[in-house]
Amino acid sequence: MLASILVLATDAATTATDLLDQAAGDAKTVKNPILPTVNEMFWAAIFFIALWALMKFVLLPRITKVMDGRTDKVRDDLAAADAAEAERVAKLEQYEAGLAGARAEAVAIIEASRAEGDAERRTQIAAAEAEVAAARAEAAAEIADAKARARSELTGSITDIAVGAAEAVIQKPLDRAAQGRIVEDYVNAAGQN
Amino acid sequence: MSILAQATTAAEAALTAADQKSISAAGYAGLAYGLATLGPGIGIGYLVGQSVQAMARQPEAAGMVRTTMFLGIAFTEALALIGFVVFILLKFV
Amino acid sequence: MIFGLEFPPIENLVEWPNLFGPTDSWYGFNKIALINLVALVATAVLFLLAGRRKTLEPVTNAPKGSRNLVESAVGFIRDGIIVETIGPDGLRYLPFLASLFFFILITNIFEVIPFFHMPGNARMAGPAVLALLTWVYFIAVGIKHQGLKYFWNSVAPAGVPKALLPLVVPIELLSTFIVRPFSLAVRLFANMLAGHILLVTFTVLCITLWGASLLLAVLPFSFLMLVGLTGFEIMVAFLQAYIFTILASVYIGSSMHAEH
Repeated sequence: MLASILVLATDAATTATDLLDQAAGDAKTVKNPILPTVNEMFWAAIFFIALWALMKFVLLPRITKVMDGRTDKVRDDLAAADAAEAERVAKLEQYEAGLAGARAEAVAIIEASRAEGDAERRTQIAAAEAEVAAARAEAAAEIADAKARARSELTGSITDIAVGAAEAVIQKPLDRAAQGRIVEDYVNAAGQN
Repeated sequence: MSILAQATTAAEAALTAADQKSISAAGYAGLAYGLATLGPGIGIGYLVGQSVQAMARQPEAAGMVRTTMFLGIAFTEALALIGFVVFILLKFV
Repeated sequence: MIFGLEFPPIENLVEWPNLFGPTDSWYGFNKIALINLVALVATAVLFLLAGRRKTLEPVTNAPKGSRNLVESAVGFIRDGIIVETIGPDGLRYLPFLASLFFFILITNIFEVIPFFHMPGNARMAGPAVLALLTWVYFIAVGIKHQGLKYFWNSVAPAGVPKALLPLVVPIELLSTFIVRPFSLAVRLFANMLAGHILLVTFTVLCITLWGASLLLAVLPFSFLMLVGLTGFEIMVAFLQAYIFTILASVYIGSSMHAEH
């Protein structure tokens, strides 16, 4: 670092005079590098304004026209898609409403038929029970009838046998009617045991 | 150091007052530019850091933050660039 | 002179002899003017290529090639700059701002184009003209939208107490009508000049090191730095075009509506 500074310093010392002599001669022609020069400003203004005019009237309208066209197309397509979606949703709702109606109808039909079946079953059961009760009553009557007949037959025959046996024993006819009553009382008492 | 001093005196002997002025101006040009970078350097660092934080917190606002960040950088950077222009003016004019 | 490194004087870096026209005349056409002309022609050709009827039909096709490039750039200026800073009202200023963007971008990008290696905006002339036009443009927009009250509205923001006006008005006057165009021009100019000097410095270093015997070892670093800085300068060229355009857009937008 020190070496470079030394070289710089000595170089400055030896060449400064030459450079400065030269610079003194050029002092008039050396321009400030910051300031704009007239010719460059002139051409820059010409070319920029030309570009601006071209851009405004020729170049940009073509591009923006296409871009706007595409934007409109995209917007229209999106709107159409939205409309289709809304339609689809509406149809779906309609279908679901129909489905729900059909389902309710089916449920109603099932309920109705079930009620009908119940009623039918109930009447049939009632009819069957009535029939059964009638049959049973008839059977009971028949049984009672048969029992009465059997009892009377039994009473008659027992009376005959008992009266015959007693006549054979005592060798004399008995009052048949009085013996019959005794036998009947006996049979009745036996039937009740 | 003694050689440096000799060299400097030799240079001084060879130069007029105007040359002295231009040489010292050339030396100060670097200093001027170096100083001019400090503030904008800190400023731009802080600005971009905060912008990144804002973008990380709210990624949906990233576009707006980025635009504003570039605007802020442009304004902050102007100071450093004026320092650079001063450098050119001191060094070459 | 350090190790035989001789940095050329700045006039050699930025001042160019006239290609035609006498020296120091008002119409001398030099390299800077040529770069500006190329910026005009290149933009026009690019847009015309993009706007050919063949590439336009049908409108539903995805943009390709030059049309894709131009549409991306125009879309960027429209959505990324104008809509962000002015709003949809500002779309009528698209031609001016698009011209600014392309003109500055192409004149800047000549910094790294072989055989030119000179950013057109490293001379104060281009930025000064553009900043002056922007200045005139935003004042004209202000007068068109607010009438002559524009000048009062722009120097006296609403809500400032009357007692502070003597202090605020000079500051706002200075910042709106003097600092704005000046900083616009200086920002662009100084960025491009700094980049140009940076690239020249490393190029001169590379050339010098090529001859020096022992210091040849440093050459790769210097060269890599040069390559890296070239990429950086391409970014700066784009960024400066963007910043100039967005600031012009902000100024125009602030002229359209009184500040509140």
